[in-house]
Amino acid sequence: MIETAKKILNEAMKRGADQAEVFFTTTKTFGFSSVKDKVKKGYYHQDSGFGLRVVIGKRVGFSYGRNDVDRIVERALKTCKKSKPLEAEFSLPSRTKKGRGVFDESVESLDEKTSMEMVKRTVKSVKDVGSKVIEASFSYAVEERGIVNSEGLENVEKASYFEIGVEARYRSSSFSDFEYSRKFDLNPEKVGENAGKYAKDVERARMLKEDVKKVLFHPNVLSGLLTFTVWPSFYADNVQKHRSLFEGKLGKQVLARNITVIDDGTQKDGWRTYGFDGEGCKMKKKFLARKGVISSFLYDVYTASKDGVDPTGNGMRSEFRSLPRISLTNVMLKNGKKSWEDFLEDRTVYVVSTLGSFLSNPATADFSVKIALAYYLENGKLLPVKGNMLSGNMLVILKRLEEVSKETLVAGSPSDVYTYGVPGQKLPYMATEHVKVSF
Amino acid sequence: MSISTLIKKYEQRADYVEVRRVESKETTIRLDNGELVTFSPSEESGYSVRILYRGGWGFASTNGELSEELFKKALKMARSLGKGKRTRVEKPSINRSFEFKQQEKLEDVDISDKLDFVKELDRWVKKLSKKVKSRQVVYLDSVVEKTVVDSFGNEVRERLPRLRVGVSVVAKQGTNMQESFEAFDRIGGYEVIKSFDWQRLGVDAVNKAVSLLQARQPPSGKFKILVDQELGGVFIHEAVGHACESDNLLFDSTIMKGLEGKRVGSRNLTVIDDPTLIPEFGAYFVDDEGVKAKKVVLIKNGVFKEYMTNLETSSKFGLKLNGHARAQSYADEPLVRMSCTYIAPGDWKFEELMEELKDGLYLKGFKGGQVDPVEGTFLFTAQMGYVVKNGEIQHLIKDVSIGGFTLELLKNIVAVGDDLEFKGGFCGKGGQRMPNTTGSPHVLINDALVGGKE
Repeated sequence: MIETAKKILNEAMKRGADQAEVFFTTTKTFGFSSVKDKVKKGYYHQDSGFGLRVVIGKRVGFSYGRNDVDRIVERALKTCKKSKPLEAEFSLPSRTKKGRGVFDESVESLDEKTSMEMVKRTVKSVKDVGSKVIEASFSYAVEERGIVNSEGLENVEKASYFEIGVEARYRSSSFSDFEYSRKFDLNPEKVGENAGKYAKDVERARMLKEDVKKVLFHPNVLSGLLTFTVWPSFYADNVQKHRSLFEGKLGKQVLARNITVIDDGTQKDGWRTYGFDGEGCKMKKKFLARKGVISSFLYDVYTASKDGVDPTGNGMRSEFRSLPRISLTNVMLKNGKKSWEDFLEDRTVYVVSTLGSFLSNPATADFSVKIALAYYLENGKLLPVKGNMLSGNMLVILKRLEEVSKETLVAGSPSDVYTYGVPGQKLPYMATEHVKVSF
Repeated sequence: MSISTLIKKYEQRADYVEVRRVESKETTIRLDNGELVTFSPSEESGYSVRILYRGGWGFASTNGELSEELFKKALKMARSLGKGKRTRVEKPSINRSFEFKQQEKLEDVDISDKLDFVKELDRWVKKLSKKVKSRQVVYLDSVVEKTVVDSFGNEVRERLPRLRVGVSVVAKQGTNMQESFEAFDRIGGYEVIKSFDWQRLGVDAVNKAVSLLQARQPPSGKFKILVDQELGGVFIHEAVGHACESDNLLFDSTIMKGLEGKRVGSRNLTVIDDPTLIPEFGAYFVDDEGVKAKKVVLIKNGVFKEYMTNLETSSKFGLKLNGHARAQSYADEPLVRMSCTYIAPGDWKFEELMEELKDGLYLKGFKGGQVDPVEGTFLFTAQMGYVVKNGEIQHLIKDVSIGGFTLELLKNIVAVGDDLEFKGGFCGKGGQRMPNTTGSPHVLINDALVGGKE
């Protein structure tokens, strides 16, 4: 791959680019899934190609392709010439040493049998708790990603991905759960058991008709809400384009004092940990908010040069077809001191799963979601609840936050971002009184 | 070896073999506050091989050339999964080529002409209001050619051009920010650009966002609601359409199971999915299993009639094959999907509906929706709405979420208007995004659960 990448790079430079960059990926994905409790489907995808970015003066062009060097170069140069000049200078990063990515070698020796076994184990654990399986799946991928640019940068690494998903059913109710990791350390029994148990609780759940004192968010609910409300406000491009709630707020106390947010592209075995980002920059650990004070934004190379700061390694790219885009790496909301169970007081609603967080409004941080499963604590008993609407404003919650738990979980989902938010978020449970539960 | 030779070789060891080749040419242009952020003419092509063996499916794809390796991989998976009896698949024979004739071919129009159009639209939007602080204009076009060859000896080809233009804006006043999005789309060539009122598109987007600045939070609780065409369309797509996708039967995951021929909604309700409504955005000639597209009446006068099907579900459950298997790309397995889903028009005039609503909410536009087909619950969000008192429109409200049980809501449909309108968009399922059309007249619904902060 790297030889072809260099060929594309040289050709682009020869034909008049001031700077050029080729990002390339080769991915092989394998997966098995069940139809109800029988493993019935298998899939295999191979995908590879090159994405070329060229810079001429203040203009940038991009194109991608499988291996047709001429077409890739020609198209990139053409789009470059047509593009509107950027407001600021843009220069590609020079040679940097790569950091530590995540690659589990066992990905290369997994076979049909082991994969089917993972699905079967998931299926069994759903059945063991008395629920049925709608669909269970296991997939894994091995990726080779690399980047070369005209400034001498040259990095290549391998990455591995593993994922289990299951949708369990109990009578007319269902519940989905999943687990993902860059290492082959998944726990199908836990995933299946959770989905099976929760499906039973959804079946028993009723709409809540009481007045609620407090709401407690499970990390998976919080990850969905944060992804579509507050997180985008930390992206430098949103700040520069006046779309951020934190514009002009750098260094100011905006959130509650117990809110500390860290984005860490170097996190050990993190879902979004790589040796280099989509522009070849080294990934970094940085505070986005420290004790409620907004302390940094997430930058790629261009937005960083516009603000005269160093890129933060957040120019993320999922494959050769896409241009770098600012996004979170592994984001973390710092935990508190109390156990989440201590937040369960009488008349508290503990929300485990919601629908519709992606419909939130990032311009205001307003959200309105439906409870898919929650528990209401009344006289020391937890009653399952569903169907109520939950609405509020995430910024208001983070400003007046009462409590976050000491326990954290990896939340978000690579395959259902709409419901759970972006993957790789490490979040505590969060309790608040500033949410309205309606019926 | 040629495709047909490979298919012949592998059908000996399988119950069904299918090869799909997809070649697409696309252009995406995105201007962000006038700055060109995406400008990518692109080409993609690839193959997939799908093999069925005794109930087990193997699927292999590549963005490279078709090689025997794909057949081997797919067969190995299918054979490791398949058990029991031979699977019977039935498919009508078809050997045809379908093409939508473009007057001005998208692939021949110079990319700088497309860019000039987007810039002109952007300049127009910029001029419309000082309150608009940020704007995005997006242009997408694609010409997709697919060929499906199978072990029945069928070979079918389709070439379909699609075009879509969208405007999204953020209006700001003090700390109050409001977004809105408007789009226009069609199956067709570049002539579409010349035939639609793109200035109107910009005006609609801007007016919406600016007026939302004055909108209040919605009330919460149970209300009588009147929904507009856009919202009615989304509602029927989310709440009914998905439940009528027959792959949910395989998984026992639809509330429609066992309700064939039974009443599921009020007599006023007829719901149709019609992929033959070309040039609507979600339409097509043949599906991605090479089956000719057919109109399906899902619900007739409140009674559930028929599912949308694919090869697997029609064979397994003895349902009519109606060409609703769709895949986003060569790398995706065809799933049962909707095309153009709509509520058939009734005979109520808008004014009569407002009068009948009397006290309630008039909800317009949509921001999105999500549905749980097992439980039969849904959530959808209207972009805006009005509080209505005594048949008179009062103040504007925003971000109105409606949730509840589908079948309950269907029974609460009181009246259906005579003003059917269609709108295009994209629908996601199983990680695949497909062009879709939704349609509806104005619809009056009793007792809807609205979530709000007031």
